[in-house]
Amino acid sequence: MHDTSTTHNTDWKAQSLRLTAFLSPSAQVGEQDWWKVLTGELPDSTTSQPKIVVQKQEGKFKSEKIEGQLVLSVQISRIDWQLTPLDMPESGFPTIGLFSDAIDSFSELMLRWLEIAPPIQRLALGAVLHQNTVSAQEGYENLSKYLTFSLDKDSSEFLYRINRPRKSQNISDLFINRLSTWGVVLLAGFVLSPNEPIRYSSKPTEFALSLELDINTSADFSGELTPDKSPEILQELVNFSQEIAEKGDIK
Amino acid sequence: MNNSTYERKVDTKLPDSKGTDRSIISTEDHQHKEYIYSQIESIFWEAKRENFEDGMESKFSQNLFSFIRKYSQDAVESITSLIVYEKVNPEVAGEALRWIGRIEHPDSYGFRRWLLERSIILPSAHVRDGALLGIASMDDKHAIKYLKDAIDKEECNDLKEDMIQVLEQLES
Repeated sequence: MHDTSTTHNTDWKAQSLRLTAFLSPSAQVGEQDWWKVLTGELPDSTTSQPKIVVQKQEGKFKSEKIEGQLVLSVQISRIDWQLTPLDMPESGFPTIGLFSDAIDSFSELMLRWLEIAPPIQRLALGAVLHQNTVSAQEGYENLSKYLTFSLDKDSSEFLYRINRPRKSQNISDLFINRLSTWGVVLLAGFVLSPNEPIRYSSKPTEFALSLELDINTSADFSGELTPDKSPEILQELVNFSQEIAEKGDIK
Repeated sequence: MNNSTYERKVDTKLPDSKGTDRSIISTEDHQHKEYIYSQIESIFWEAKRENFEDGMESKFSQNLFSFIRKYSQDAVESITSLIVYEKVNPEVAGEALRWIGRIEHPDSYGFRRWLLERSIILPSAHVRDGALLGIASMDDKHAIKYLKDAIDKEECNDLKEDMIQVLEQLES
């Protein structure tokens, strides 16, 4: 069980980061070149699913400390930017780098996008993080440090999800949902062969603490996030995500 | 490892296979949209053969209600694609928008309101009329800003007058 004043190990690694912008009804998104504007390069691929009207652009993104696959997905009412690992590593969990580095690079990129983004009603920052651990038991022990209760080391299948909304510091009647999901996950290899049942490979199973964050402005907010306010709101979302990663499940 | 693929399972959780108990706090996107889209496409397609009477429930409105209750925001998202990108008959789209403002379904409320606010400026007068009636039924002040914008752009005088009446209703 944690002490709320304590800062814990911040070696969280980022498995993926996401920024979602929910569009205002007044937004009309046509052809755009945001991926190129942000990265200075053309995306590796552009695909579209005309029926459900999704346009997707993706390609490699590299900054000083991280690298990953940057994916832009444009839908009728939302725009998603995602940064995911380039490849599945030979061993260990896939990652785009340390969370502290990844969130800095990603938020810097997204702040630039907000300068050219269409009118937005809601913003959300999503992150999937993990922290290596030796066993499930040690994972539960370490996870307890981030939670307001202790976990029995002999238990299993633990999954804890909680929303702890807070008022925005930048817009008086705006609440920000701080949704976090905690657990211990395992990484196991499977061998898939034609005409044979799926079986575990001989590679050792690996464990990690898992933290999924979905920090988002409340859907109850009746206004729009104006271009002068949206960068400040994104910074708040980033700060909240860093706070939860460092201090755990706090009010 | 010949004839085999090495894969990794990163999470032991089971995915939400139904996709119907979606949290309204979570902003994660979902992956079963094509299936939902094809379902609603069929509902709109069948509705072309129906004759709609003002304010009367129809097979179409009943199908629409049960579809939204079943798939919630994902249903409204598919309906939005059909209407906003003008892929369906404008009269059927207008009829859909009328009922979308009336249905009692809190989980999809925000997205349904978004669709009505977005549709009030679409090219078809049938669609704008349906959106206006939907907005009047919802009676939500949130729509005032978008209704004012629509009034400024509206070229059909009758519809403009109706919009002004609904605006007065929302402002009162």
